[in-house]
Parts: sequence; C-alpha cells; structure tokens
Amino acid sequence: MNIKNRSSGQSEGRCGMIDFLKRRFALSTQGAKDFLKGVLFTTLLNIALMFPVLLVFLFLDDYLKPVVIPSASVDRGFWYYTLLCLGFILVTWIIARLQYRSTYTTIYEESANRRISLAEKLRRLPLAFFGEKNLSDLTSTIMEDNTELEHVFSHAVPQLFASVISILLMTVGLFLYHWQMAMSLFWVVPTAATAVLLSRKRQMRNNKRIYDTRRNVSEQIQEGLETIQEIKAYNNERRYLGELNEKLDDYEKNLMRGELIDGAVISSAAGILKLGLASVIIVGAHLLSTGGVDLFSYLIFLVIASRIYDPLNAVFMYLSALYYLDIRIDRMNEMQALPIQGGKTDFSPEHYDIVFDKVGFSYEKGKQVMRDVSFTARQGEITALVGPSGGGKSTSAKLAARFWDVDSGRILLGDRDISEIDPETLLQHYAVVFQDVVLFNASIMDNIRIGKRDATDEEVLRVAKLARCDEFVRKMPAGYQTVIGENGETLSGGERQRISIARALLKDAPVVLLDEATASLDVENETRIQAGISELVRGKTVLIIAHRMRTIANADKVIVLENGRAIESGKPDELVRQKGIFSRMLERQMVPAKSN
Amino acid sequence: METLLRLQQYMGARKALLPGAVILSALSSLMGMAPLIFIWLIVRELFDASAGSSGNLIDVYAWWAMGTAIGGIVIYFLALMLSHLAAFRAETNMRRQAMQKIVKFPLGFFDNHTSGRTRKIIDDNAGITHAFLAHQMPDLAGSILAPLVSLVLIFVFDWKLGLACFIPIIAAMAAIMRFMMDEKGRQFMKKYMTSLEEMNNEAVEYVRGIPVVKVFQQTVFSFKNFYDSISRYKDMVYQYTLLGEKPMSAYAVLIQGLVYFLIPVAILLVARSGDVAGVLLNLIFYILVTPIFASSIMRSIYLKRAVEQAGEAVDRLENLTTVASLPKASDPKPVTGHEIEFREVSFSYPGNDRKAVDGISFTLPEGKTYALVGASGGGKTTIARLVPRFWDAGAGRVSIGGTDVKDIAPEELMRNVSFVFQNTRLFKTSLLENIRYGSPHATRLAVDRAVELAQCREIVDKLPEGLNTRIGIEGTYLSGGEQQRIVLARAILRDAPIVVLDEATAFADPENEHLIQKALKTLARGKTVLMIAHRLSSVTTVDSILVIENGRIAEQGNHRDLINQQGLYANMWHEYQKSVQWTVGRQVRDD
Repeated sequence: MNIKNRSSGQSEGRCGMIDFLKRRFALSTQGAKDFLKGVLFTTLLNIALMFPVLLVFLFLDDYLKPVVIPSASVDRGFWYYTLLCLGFILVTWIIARLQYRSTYTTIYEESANRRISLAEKLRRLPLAFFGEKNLSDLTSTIMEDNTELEHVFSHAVPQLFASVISILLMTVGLFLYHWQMAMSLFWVVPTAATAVLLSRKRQMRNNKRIYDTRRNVSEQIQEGLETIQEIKAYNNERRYLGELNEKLDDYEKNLMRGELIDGAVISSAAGILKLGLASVIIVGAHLLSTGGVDLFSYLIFLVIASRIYDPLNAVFMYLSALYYLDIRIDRMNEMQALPIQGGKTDFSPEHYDIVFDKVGFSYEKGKQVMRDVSFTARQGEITALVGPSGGGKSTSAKLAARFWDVDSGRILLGDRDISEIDPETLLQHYAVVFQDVVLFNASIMDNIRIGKRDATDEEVLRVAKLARCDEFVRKMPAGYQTVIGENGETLSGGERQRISIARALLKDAPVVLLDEATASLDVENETRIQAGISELVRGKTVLIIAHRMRTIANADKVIVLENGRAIESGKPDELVRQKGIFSRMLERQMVPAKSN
Repeated sequence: METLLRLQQYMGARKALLPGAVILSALSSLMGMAPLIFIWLIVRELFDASAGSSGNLIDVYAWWAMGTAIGGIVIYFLALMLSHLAAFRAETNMRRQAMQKIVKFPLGFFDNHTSGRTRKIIDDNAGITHAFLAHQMPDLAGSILAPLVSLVLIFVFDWKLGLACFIPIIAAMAAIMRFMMDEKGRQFMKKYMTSLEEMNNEAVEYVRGIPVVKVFQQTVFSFKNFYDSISRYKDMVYQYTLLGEKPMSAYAVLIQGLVYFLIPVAILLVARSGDVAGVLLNLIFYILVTPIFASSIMRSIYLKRAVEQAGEAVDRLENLTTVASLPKASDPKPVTGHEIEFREVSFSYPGNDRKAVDGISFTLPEGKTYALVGASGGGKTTIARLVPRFWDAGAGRVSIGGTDVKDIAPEELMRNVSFVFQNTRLFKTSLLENIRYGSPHATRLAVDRAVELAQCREIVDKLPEGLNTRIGIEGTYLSGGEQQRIVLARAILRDAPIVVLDEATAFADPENEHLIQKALKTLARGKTVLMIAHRLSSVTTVDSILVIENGRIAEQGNHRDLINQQGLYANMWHEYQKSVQWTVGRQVRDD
C-alpha cells in the first residue's frame, strides 16, 4: 500500500519510466525505484570519479602559468590543494558507499521477492501442468535465471545506464568547452558503434548456430546415457562415439568461427576508438600552432584522451551483458504471463454427482483429446473409464478435478460448474490416487499426515494399517519416524502407492479419483493395495481409470472412451451383451486369468 | 598450477598454444602502455616548445601512439584466438573423454546415476573451464606484467612521486584482499554458496510437491521450506555484500584517486626545487600511467576464484568417471554352449553391506526356460543382471556353456545374450534403424518378419511413413507398450541364443499387454531363457521356477511340484488367485 501511495504522487513521466523498467526488466514497482536510485548513485559516483580530472584541470590551470609565462606565479599553495583533495576524497567515499548500498544490496531484496512471487505463481497454475516431466528442469532454470539477473543487475545494468549518462554529460561539456578538439576526440565513437551494430546480425546468426550445435552435443550425450543398455548390448560403442565425435567437431568449429567473428568485431571497434587518440593529438598540435587552442586545453584533452576509451569499451561490454539477459527476462515474463486458475472459495454442494456435459478438450491446438463427451458419475457409485491408451481416460479423470480447464462444454460437481470454483477449494472434496506419487523428505508419519493436517497419530496409524503400510514401516529403523529421503527414493513402487492410499484414506473426501494401475503392481503387493482401495471407495463418488477389465466387473457404470469420444456406456453386463468394444477387451483379458 | 596441468591433458597437441597466448597477451599489455608513454613524450615536446625549441616530433609520436595502441589490440586478438583454440579443444575433449570412459562402465552403474544428472555433470563442468582457459589465463600475464612495469617506471621517474602513489595502491590492495581472501570472507563465501544451492534444491522440491500441496491443501508444508531458504539466502548474501561495502568503497576511492596523493606531493616538490616545468612533466606521466593499476589489480584477484572453479570442475568430472570398468579377460574364451550356471554366487551393491544375492547355485540347461519369482527387492533382477555382466559377482561363478562370463570377451558375451529389461529406450531415429540397431546388415525381409513376430505391424502401418518414420521427433511418439514391442522386434531380429528378460510390462494398457506377451513368447521360443516374472499366470508352463527370497533360492521346481509343496509359492499362488478375482467396490475376504 505504502508503495502505491508514494508512486501516485509522482509525475506522469516518472511513472511511465517505472512502468517501462518493470516490463523491460521484470521488476516490481519497488524494484524499479531501487533500480533508478542505483542508476542515480552510480552516475554520481562516475561524476565523483572524474574529480581527479577536475583537480588536474584546476592544478594545471594554476601551475602552468609560470611555465608559459616565466614571470607569472601560482595563485594557490599546498594547503589549498591538500584540503581540496581531502574534500574530494571524503565526498567520493560517501558517494561510493551510497552507490554500493544502492546497487549491490537492494537488488537481493528484489530478487527474493521475485522468487517468492514466481513460487506463488507456480502454485496457481493448472495442476496438470505439473505432470510434464521437465518441470524441475524449468524450475532450476528459473532459479538460475534469478541468480544471473541478480548478478547482472548489481554489476552491469546500473553501470551501463550511469556510464551512458555520465559520458553524455562529459561529451556535452567538452563540446561546449572546445568543439573542434571534442570533435577530433569523439568522431570515432559513432564510427565504432556503427561497426558493432552492422555486424550484430551476423553475430546473432552465428550465436544461433553455436547454440544449435551445442544442443546437438548435449542431446547426443543424453541419448547415449539413456540408451547405454542398447549401445552395450549390441556392441555399438564405437559407432556411438563416432557420432559424438562428429557432433563435437562441428560444435568446436562453430565455436571457433563465432569467436573469430566476435573477436574481430570487438577488436576493430577498439581499434577504431584508438584512432581518436591520433586524431586528437594531431588536430590539437595543428590548432596549437595556429593559436586555435592554448597549451592548457590541449593538455587537458590529452589526459582525457588517455582515459576516455576504457569507459567507452566498458559500455560496449555492459551492452552485451544486457543482450544476454534478454533471453532470461523473456523466460521470466513468459512464466508470469501463464494463465492461472481462480474461482470462488465458497463451495458446499448438497450432493457429489459429477456431470460431464459435452466436454471438449485439447492439450495442443489441433490435437483434440476429448470431443463432446457426456456422462454422469453418481454419488455412491463406481464409474469406470476404460478404453485403449490415448483414448481419453486419464484426461477425463484429470478434467474432473480441474487439473486443466475444459475448452468447450462444462463439468459439474453437485450442480456447480467446477471452472467457477477455486481449484484448492474444489480439491478439498477429492481424494486422488494416481500412479505418480509425490513424497517429501520427511518422516513417514508426516508424509501420510499430508492427507489431513490435524490428524492425530492414532488416526494416521489406523489408515496406515488399512492401507497395509504398517507391514513395511515396522521393518524400518525408526518406524513411522523414519525420514524417507528426497522424493522417498528409498521406497519401492508398491510402498509408495500404499502411502498414497493411506493419505487418501486419511483425507476421507467424498469424491475419489483412482487409477486402477495403482492396484496392480507385483504379485506380492497387489492384494494388499486392493484391500486399501476397497476401503477407500466405499460410499463415495468414484471415478476409476481401469486397465484390467475384470477389476471393474462390479462397477455400477462403465464408460468406454476411444479417440476422445464416449462410444459405449452402461452396466458391465449390459455392455457384455452388446458385444461391442468392451466385451472384446474383456474376452482378450480373461484368457490368462483362469484359475486352476 | 596443478589445475592447469590437469586441464592441459585435455588439449592434446593444442596445449602448446596456451603459452603462446600468454606471451602474446603479455606483449600486448606492454604495447597497450606504449601510447601513454608517447602521449607523455608529446607533452614533453610541448613543454620544450613553450621553452623555445621546435615541436615537430609531435606528429611522429601521434602516429606511434596510435600504431602501438592498434598493434596491442591486434596482438591481443591473436592471443585470444590461440587461447580459444586450446580452450575449446579442452572443453570438447573433456566431454569426449568422459563419454569414452562411460561407455565402458558396468551397466549397473546407470541404476543410480540418472541420465539427466550425469549429462549435467559432464556438460556443465566442461563448460566451466572456458572462462579460465580462454580469458583469465592469457590475461593473467598482462595483469601481472603491466602493473609491475608501471611500478618500476613510477619509481625510476621520481621516487618521491612514486611513493606518493605506491602507498595508496598498497592500501587499496590490502582493503580488497582483506575482503576477498580473509578467513571470515571466505567462510561467508562458502556459506553463501551453500545457501544458494539449498535454495535451488528447495525450489525443485517445492515444485515437485505442488500437486500434493494442492490436492491436500497443505500450502504451508513445503512452501515454508522454500520460503525459508529464500529468506536465508537473501540474508546471507546481504550480509556478505555488506561485508564488502567499506573495503570495496575504499578500494574505489584510493585506486581512482591517486591524483589526490600526487598533487600535494608535487606542490611540495615544486616549492623545494623551484623547477615547475620538470615537476609538472613528471606529474603528468603519473597521471597518465597510474590508471593501469585500477583494472589489473581487480583482474588478478578474480583469477584466484577462476582457478578454484576450474579445478573443482575437473574434480567433479573426473570423480564421475573414475569408476572401475569391469576387468577384461586377458585371454578371452569363446562361448561354446548355452547352459547357464550359477555356482555359490553372492553379490552386494557398492556401498551396501547387505547381500543382494546370497550364495545362489542353479543350472539352467540349454533350451530351457526358468522363471524368477518373489517379492520385489528380493534379488530377482540382480540375479538376472549378473548374466550379461551388469555387475560382476562378488563371490562364486556365473558361467555360460562352462565358461566364466568374466573370461568371455564383452562383445562375444553381448552377441550371445539378448536382454530386455524395463528401462529400454528407442533412439531418435527411424523405426527401421531402431529395429536394425543390433543387426545393421539385416535384410528388409528379416526386418519385416521381426516386425510381424513382435506384433508391431499395426504400429508401423499407422505411422505416416511406415518403417521410415522418425521416432521422438515432431510429435511422433509411441506409447510405452508400443515402444516395448519395437524393442522386442530388435531383440527378435538379433536372434541371440540366450535371452534374459523382465516380463514386467510397466503399466501397459490391456491391448498392449496382450501383444507384448505374444511377442515375448516368440522371442523365447527355442532359446535358453531366464525370465523375471511378475504375474504368476505366465510361469505355470516354464521348466522351472526359482522362488527368490532375501537373495536366496527359497524353493525350486515346476508349477505343479511347488503347489504340492504347500510352501511359499503355493501361498503366493493363493494370493494371486485372490487378487485376480478382486473387483473395485467389493470387499476381499481373507477366508
């Protein structure tokens, strides 16, 4: 609030500037202000760092007199200059510290806020977003981007702006002071800049090529690691390494070419800048002999000429850091622009029937996953989704819990359209048991307790027994207090599933979404998990993704999905009589399940 | 130095270029100083001219100043080209050599080294060395030589003025050293790096946990950890930077403000000697030369960190790749029969005391099919993997046709043993290439037959370009079950006499599972087969069943015998029968 009030008091132009900075550099309002402050202090520091030149200026003006006119004497003595020096040192010291604080410390506050806001953002994305596997890659990229941004924003960007401002100030000053000399010093700047700009396109093209060949190498390494079993099984090591060599050579060649071009461009720009050194000396000497400039001004320009080109070079360097930053800022803005799901937080339906009403959905444009699907899953009944993989079973289950929002039609829970209900509020009414179980680096007790925050130990133990977790937990060194490592790495697939069922049992939500594959691991685990699931589904609205037809022989309703359409629906025995897809699938699976 | 030597090993013949780069860079930094000297000479001319002599040397000096400046740039450019040639070679060779070693590792290595993380270690660490080799190494010579030469010059010219700028330079260096090298500063640096890493890990954990957090409304649970790590990092880095405020500011003021110390001294000198022109001339020399210190001191200080980073990168990479490859037989023997024998075989995984396989003996005669059954974690997979030498047995002997697998040349072993485990993958190339991967000379006819036998015909038919369709590119993906069938086609085409397979079909849909079972049967026909079984329905007809429990064989026999024994297997069978009769919504009854 405070921030808002302050900014509304500012002039229009200032607000425009802040808005621009916010957009351009993915900053918050406070961040943009701090940034401006940083630029201001860095400019001040740059000016303060010119005090020595100013001092030389004053000193030479004074002490050159006796050199030029032998009879003249100096105006001011030791104490005057010493005090002046001390004054300058003090002022520079104060400004340097202010600058340090304004650029190197406030940025971390901004960065922390940005990280938190990204975290908040991620949390509000559709749930299905998190099924995509490279999400943790994306996260670490974003975190690295933030760290990089931190660095560039403290070490390059304020400096860039400040350098440009102070160089401009100095240029104007020097032109006002003596335009011919200034001209002979600065003509090289636009020339060098033009050279850099002209070659930029070529550089970009080359960078792209380097990026591509580099990715080829990474992919080749990645593929080699992924397919190592095949490579070794089929004695193809040499062939693989040969391919890798080709890609590495290609990459190296492009790297070198890129370096050659970049180096040539930067060197020629630097070379052009140094031409100014010659021109300022020669023009100055000529003007001096014709009386166009006095010795003092000439000396001053010589001193400046020896010092000006380094800051100019630095500007070019900062600029390239900025270009480099663009990709990262784009990525961040892209993240912030992803659509989030919102909705009402008051939701207490009178019943829990799920209704799919002409639902259409696609993950990507043009690839329709669900078309016009309608069905009802009633409270207290088990509704099974069956069909070939890719037919839309899992998508239906995910849509029912608003993991994504539908493209057309609507889904109702207890007569309310779920797209109008806040996802977290909605999910309070769901228990979800899918195959990908997420576990935390915490004790087993806490991992189960996730199902219900305020559950007592007794309650946790009860569901753990029901879900048959008890048997394996008791074998662990610290029982329920055993910490299971990052994402529960130490647990087997069956054990993970049982924990996930225990959580769902603890949650005791009126709607249950279940992937039946969960219940069919290996022989040993299967019956144990099945017992837990039987407990879980009793009396609930159950939507089950079924893979094994016999499992759902007693379901109240079966929906057969194929190519995104509901092509059959009804009670299992009705469908068997219809002799459609369902009965065919059933027959095929019954073969191996005969008992002795 | 040690880091440099280690890195040089990766440069091959190009390691000779690096000293060249260093020398050129040193030369260029000296040439970079020359223009300043020429400018000073011009100033001297000007002073002389105002005292009466002619100033016609000025133009000559001007061209020299420019010439040396540009010469310095050209030489530096050359230095960088040389250093890059060496650095790029080091970078690519690090990747190359890492992969050369990795393909020789025992396959078991890849169980606990995920491909993504391993790739990152190789890729990232190879890249880290670049800055050091390509830039900091050649710059080092310049950033040491230039200030040294300047230091000599400033004392030679006038030691009093020299002292006047030497003292603040030393003070500035002391300030910055205290900040960067000081024990406290280094501790901070370490803590800062740790908190950064911690935060990044928490971020990944947080994102992974979001689904659970949402489903169970446990917002605080994982968010708090992440939030805390962000705050910790912020506080850490804030304190670390604050630590630098005074020294860094002092450094900036001192190193950029040498003039403040020179001018009072110059005035004193003028007062004493009365030679205004002489003192001024010297002073101008100092004003021109001293800025060199500002840039080079900073650079040489960053160098230390770069060396450390590069050294650590090589360490990490070499740590990854110093796994012992399996010993190669000195006198390899051919495979003469296909009987598989385990004699008193024991094995434990590296870093784990528990025996995964504990004194197992059995003989699988040629042409027979044996199945391994038992609880997960019991050792089934480990036993099967000892045959194609994913690992070598710790004790006892695994042999094929009477020859210890360790005495068989790896290529020969692989030619004789086909294995199909769960995590097999397809290559991102055409379907045809994928199937022919193990037998590049197979005829089209043979491929077609394998496609048929592996039940892949309908997969091929539905793809736009049939067998020539490239997989994994532009949206052409196959489901898990379909991939598995392609892998089976590859194995069928290979036609090795021994087949080790894992029957698990992950969670294929019913259609696929049915087809995979069919393909597996084809693959096993007439072969010596060791199978890891997950569903008891598929072991009723095998020649012998080994029931594995805690790394030992608990029971052995065919289905009928084991049922009659009323032991473990009979129990499992009973359970299995119950599980296949289970339906959702109906209670399983134990009696």
